[in-house]
Amino acid sequence: MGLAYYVVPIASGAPLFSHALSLVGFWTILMFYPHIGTHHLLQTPAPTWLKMIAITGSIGMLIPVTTVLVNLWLSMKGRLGHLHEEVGAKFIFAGLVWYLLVCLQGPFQSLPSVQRVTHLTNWVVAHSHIAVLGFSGFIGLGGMYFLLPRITGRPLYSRKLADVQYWLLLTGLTGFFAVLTMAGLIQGSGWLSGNVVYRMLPELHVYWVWRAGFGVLISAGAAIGVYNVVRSLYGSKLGEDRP
Amino acid sequence: MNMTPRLLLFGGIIIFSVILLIVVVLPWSTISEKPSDIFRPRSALEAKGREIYVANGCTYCHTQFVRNIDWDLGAERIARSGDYVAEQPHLLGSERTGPDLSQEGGEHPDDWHLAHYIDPRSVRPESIMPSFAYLGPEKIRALMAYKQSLGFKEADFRVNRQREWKNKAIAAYDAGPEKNVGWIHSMVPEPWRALPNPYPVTSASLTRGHRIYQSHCIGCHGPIGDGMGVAQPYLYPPPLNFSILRGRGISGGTLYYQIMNGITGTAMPYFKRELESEKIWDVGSYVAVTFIGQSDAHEAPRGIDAAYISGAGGRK
Repeated sequence: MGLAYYVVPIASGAPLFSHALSLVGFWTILMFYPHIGTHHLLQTPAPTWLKMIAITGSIGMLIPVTTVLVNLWLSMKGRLGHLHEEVGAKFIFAGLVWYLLVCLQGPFQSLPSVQRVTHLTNWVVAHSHIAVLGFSGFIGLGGMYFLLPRITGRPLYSRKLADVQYWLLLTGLTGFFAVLTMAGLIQGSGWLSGNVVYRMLPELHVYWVWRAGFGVLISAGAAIGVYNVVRSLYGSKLGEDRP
Repeated sequence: MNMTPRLLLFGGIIIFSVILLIVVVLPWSTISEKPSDIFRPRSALEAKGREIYVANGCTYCHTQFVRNIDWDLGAERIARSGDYVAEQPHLLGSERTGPDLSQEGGEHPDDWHLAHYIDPRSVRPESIMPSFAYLGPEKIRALMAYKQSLGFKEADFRVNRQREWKNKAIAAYDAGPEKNVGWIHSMVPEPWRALPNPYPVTSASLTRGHRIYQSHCIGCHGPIGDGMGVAQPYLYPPPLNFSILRGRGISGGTLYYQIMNGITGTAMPYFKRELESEKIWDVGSYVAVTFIGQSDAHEAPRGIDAAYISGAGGRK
């Protein structure tokens, strides 16, 4: 999130909308986030009061998330074209969209009534992938592409390859999220209506084939990214003649 | 408001203390380590098996807590906190690709487990569990001991019952087909034995029965129902060859009861959790028509026909 706060104003060429709002986000995420782990244990014999704190904290996460996203949105509003000229900022913008999705889904799925269907299924796997690869991964990559030329003084080897990586990751992750969410709902409603785990397995097969396919896109994107970064690191500096 | 170092320091300390209180101090000071009624300590072999279970990532696919909304394995006992007093680390798990194992002990006899570890699809044809044959006999023995201890005292009760009935099942098998069928038959309550399959055999019901046979039965009883499925070498008494049932008075009710209830002590599991009425009648019809070559489907005594049965195409 710190990276997004750093890159968005520079890349969009506008100051941060509100410093105060960013502080609300900073302190409330500190307050809510550490408590929410027990939402993974709602259906286990863990103490009820811990579960209640976890659900409260999970829903409370809407406050920091909303303040952060509103703040950054108002900073870049009307300047999205400018922002997307910088490939690092482009990744970060996508990361923020994933952040919106994952943080609307998170509080929703911390509710016990929702977990009756979703818990222990692929739905949760889909959710954690858009958190780690979507939110953290896209912003991390964006920060790397943004900072690397500024730190090393060497330009990015290929903007085109970075764009290819962007689309491979975006397509791969979107598909990954979609098929796992579907598989999760099938598993969850099957179990809830009395089907055992074994009987639901054949129903999931096709979704896992698609999952593997989308995983290949993600891995291909990663490989292209590594190549691009390595070539950039060993390329010539700005202003130097290429050999 | 400005983010001064002073604000950051004191604000940080205040929030950190509150979190420490709620997330660490309160749970730690209020935790109750009272064992539940079924709890018992693990033997050395079971503890070793647990280490192998952890090392091989079994917990990525198998949870170890039963919820009050579950219908699967172990659903007779909802998890209680006292079941977990010796769990370090806990193996609750967060995803179910295989069944929950917290109450698995004694659900199956040892020979079923051996077949299942070496070739999971031999006993569960649609399983996606990898083979654990590479662990070797020593580790599989430990893993099996751990598995049979899941459920603690209740698991011990079930494991002992498996052993007791296994001895009787072996004695019956060794006495030859005639006596074996008689023994199996005598284990089915009389009203079930006297009950013909109430539903006529149709090509649709045979197709459905075939599908169920392939997903649940083929591993042990084999594609032609001769009991020579891929699991056969591991199992004793071996899976039943259905052709020996011919001419020995096996009713649709007997088949239904055995599929529903299983034969504890042998590798034949109960299917009442995973197959409901229609599927059990259908697979029973499939076995009767295809392998035994005799079927009492839709014979007297029977009640009023179910509304779907038609006179023309329905009767065999």
